[in-house]
Amino acid sequence: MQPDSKLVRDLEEFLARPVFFKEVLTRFSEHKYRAILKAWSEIRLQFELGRDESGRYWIEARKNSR
Amino acid sequence: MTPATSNEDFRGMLRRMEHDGCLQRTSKRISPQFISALCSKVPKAIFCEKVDGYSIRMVGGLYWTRTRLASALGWPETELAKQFAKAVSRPIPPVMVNKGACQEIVRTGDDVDLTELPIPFMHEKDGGPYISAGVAFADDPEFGPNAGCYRLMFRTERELGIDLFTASDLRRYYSKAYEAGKPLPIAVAIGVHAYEHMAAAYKAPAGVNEMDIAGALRGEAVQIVRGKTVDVHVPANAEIVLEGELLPNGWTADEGPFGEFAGMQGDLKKNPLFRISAITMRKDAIFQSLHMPWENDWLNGPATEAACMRVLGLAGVQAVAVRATEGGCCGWSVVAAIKKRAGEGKNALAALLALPVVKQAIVTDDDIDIYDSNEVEWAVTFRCQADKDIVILSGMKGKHVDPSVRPWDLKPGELPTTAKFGIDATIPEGIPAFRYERIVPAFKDQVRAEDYL
Repeated sequence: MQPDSKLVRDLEEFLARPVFFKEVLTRFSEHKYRAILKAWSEIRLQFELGRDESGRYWIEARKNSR
Repeated sequence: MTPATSNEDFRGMLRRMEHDGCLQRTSKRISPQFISALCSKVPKAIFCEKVDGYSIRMVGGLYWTRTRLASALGWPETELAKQFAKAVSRPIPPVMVNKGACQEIVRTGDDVDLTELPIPFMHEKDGGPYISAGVAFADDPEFGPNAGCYRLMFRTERELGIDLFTASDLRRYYSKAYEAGKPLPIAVAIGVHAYEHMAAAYKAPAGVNEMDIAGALRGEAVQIVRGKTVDVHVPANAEIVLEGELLPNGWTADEGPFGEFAGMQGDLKKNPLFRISAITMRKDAIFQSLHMPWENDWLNGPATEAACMRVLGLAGVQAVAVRATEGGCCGWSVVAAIKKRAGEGKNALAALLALPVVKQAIVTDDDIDIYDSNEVEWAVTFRCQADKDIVILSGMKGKHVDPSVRPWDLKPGELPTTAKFGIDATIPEGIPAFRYERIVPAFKDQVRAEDYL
């Protein structure tokens, strides 16, 4: 199963501001849970994620290489 | 409770729990992010036969109550501590087998994909989906094989975060590998029998293989099989096994927050990474999720109760029963019933409060049913004088997870201390027992309710 490239792009956009993981599931609830996890995996592979003390995520920078 | 059968596997345990009325099946489709909420709303463990988007089934809430844990183990509820203590004293080493059901399906290389597993998102503020019921297996040339329970956070399709923040055997093994700049091969089994799970949750001394304890809990050797890609042994009939390496990245990767065993949302931590080299599983595998705090707590409850029995024995106090209470997360708060001689109410409290995990203790006489909270409260109310029978000990070893010790005020590496208290609810010295004669309804033995209803 390949990640849904549009979902990955939308998730990338959504992570421009700090969000809890639950907000990711809520925002993309029209997608299957597994598809969201696939997209999340892809985001983790492509980007450095920032975290704040409460656990929220945001995209900090694109990784140099896979 | 229905006793376990010989060499019973996880599925056999589920069947018995269903027979005991402790587990309910549902064939309605559910998404993994809803399993935690469902388990909190259903009075039984839940076996989800259809998981939305997955071919793997899920089960949750198996150890949510003392009754369910007793059913899983096949022991009477009041015997958990005694059975556990007996097992710890008579370990049975595991036996190697060449073939294990846990390897009926093997995924390696590019076929490894953790999103194949219905890893649930469990609590509102969690940092991601978590594998909460994993039992991690590792080996060390000095200390030998080890098993323990560690939470794993989903990161990518081949990578998990693992919580190695607090002291543990696996942390010791990993630290050695990390200092040598090498990865540590491990395997994580999901869906193992309660015997293996409870033994892994037990903090056995270094050098003691928890699977020896599991064998004693079973009453026969645990069958283990070598991993397909790592030289680590796992229970042969586990439902799912993740094989791989803890990378030598040290405590650098974000992990958490996660709903912790004390019932509170934990902190974001920095932890090592677990890279997966193989996923092996049974045909029609069942994924287990363990729900915080009660399931985690109940797995530790019998070990705490057994430790209490042991220290009371060392203190020369005859304990009749010990109960680690649910509100005290099955360890922090205990109630003990003793056959008391003069002064032993306080001796018992001193012994119980010396245990690192116990923060508060109540000691009663053996006529009190300590499994009935009203009985315990009655004893505290009428057998205790607060100025004489409450013991407070200050400056004892505490735990970071307890907010009342204000762990955020500690310097890095500084350990918290805590105050503890005990209530001697035994009949005070000098008061004759007849002063506590309990009322009994007249003709109680002769009157049968069904004759009048």
